[in-house]
Amino acid sequence: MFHDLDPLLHSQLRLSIMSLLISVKEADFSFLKEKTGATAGNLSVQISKLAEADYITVKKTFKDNYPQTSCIITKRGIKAFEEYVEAIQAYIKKN
Amino acid sequence: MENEEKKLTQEESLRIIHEMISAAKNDVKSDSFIFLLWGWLVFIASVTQFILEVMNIENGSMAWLLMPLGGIITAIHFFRQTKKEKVKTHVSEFLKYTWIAFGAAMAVIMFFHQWGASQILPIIMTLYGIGLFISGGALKFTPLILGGIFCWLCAIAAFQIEGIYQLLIIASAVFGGYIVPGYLLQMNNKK
Repeated sequence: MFHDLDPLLHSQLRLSIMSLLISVKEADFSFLKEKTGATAGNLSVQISKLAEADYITVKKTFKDNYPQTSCIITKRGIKAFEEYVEAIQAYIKKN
Repeated sequence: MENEEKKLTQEESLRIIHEMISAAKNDVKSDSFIFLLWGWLVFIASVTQFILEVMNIENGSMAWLLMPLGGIITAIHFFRQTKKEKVKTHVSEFLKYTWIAFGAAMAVIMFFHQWGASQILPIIMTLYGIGLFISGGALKFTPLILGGIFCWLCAIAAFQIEGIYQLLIIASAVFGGYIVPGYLLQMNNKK
């Protein structure tokens, strides 16, 4: 059914993360957790997968002595996201 | 979100993209505090100076010493906000740079201008108009756009007259440009 779709993006949570990050400049972990409704553990795993593929950059900092993780979409991530959307649109046009 | 490997249909993919982009977009809220702070400070300073001048009390311009206080409160406010901030949107970043540019332009004019005193307040009102108009456009918030236009009209009026009545015009400019849109923005954010 979906032959050309990026398997990394064709997953509910990873697609949600990428859709949020494409809309903002930078988002921290709690923002992504709140908007996606995912558990912290699941979110961490999916963020790591996206970071390994260089679709997002993860910044770890400290705010008031608490560790903070923030994510930024990379150029490669934007390109992958655009290609994913184009592939879906192409599929819809075909059907 | 738990069933991570569930197969998505194209409709589900589109729905997720749409929902998440909307969720991020709805998070753009502008800070009404800064508009109200500067609106009231400039309003109080200009009206106070006007009253002191009318009463022939010297050093009426001392009322503008409220401005450095506003600068300190603004700096503390932004420092705290940055700590709390969960997301940086493109709009919030754009507005940040717009108002930094506004502040820099104000500082350059205030400290280095060679114009006569009667030119300064209309020029400041023109700058107010730029900041408000751009903010209103970026936030899609009409009262700020109208506030910006109102400041430009006030600037035109202030260029036509000299002396202490310019103080009443700048008080009107900040009332219509900052205070009223500031309260409307506050109400809008609470919705």
